[in-house]
Amino acid sequence: MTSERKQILEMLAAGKVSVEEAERLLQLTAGGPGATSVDSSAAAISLRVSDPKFIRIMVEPAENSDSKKDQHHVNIRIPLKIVRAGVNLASLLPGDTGKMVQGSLLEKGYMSDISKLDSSALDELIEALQELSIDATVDNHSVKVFVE
Amino acid sequence: MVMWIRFRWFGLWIPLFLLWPILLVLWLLFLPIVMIGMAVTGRISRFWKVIHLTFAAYEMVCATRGLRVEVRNDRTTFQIFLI
Repeated sequence: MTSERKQILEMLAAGKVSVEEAERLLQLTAGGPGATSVDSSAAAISLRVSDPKFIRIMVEPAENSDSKKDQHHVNIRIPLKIVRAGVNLASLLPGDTGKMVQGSLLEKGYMSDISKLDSSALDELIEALQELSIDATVDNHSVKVFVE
Repeated sequence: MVMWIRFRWFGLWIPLFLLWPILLVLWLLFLPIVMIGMAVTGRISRFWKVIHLTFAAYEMVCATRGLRVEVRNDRTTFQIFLI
């Protein structure tokens, strides 16, 4: 077992990541669907910033890609405050609307029930995000997800 | 809060902070109508929930400050910044 896989399983056992997140990470380390190549140094999970404010998603062409035609640059910065504000808003939604949101999330494969997400669970979720950093190579593009 | 949108060559600054007073006035104008509607339909107990929902929606909008989306390739550029 590689150190990355072991680290992911330890994080799952400690409840720092959900089953779906762990599965996705394992797929990345194993070169599963959605990941064409990931070397051992590319899929890294490490301790990061102590007080993160943003989730950053960056996609840049890999250094060895020569064709300039299909090169995409994506730079997304999402404030973490949105997560907390979104959960507050969702908790106030009327019953029927809440069920619709829950149904849409289930359709997209998010199995967690947002109505049961209280402030302590939210703190744990944000704490887990602090430690997550993904660095992978997909379709000749370097994909980085981290908090800052 | 100010929004910057750019699509290809077209860029636009939108001063969102100027919209808040307009939205507040509209909300205050519609509030009595909402209250009457709730009283008629027997759902006046949900009034405080409507108030809380409004504040939560405002909080959600404020939380988007700092959002940055930038997508570029050889043909096009798309940017949204919330500052």
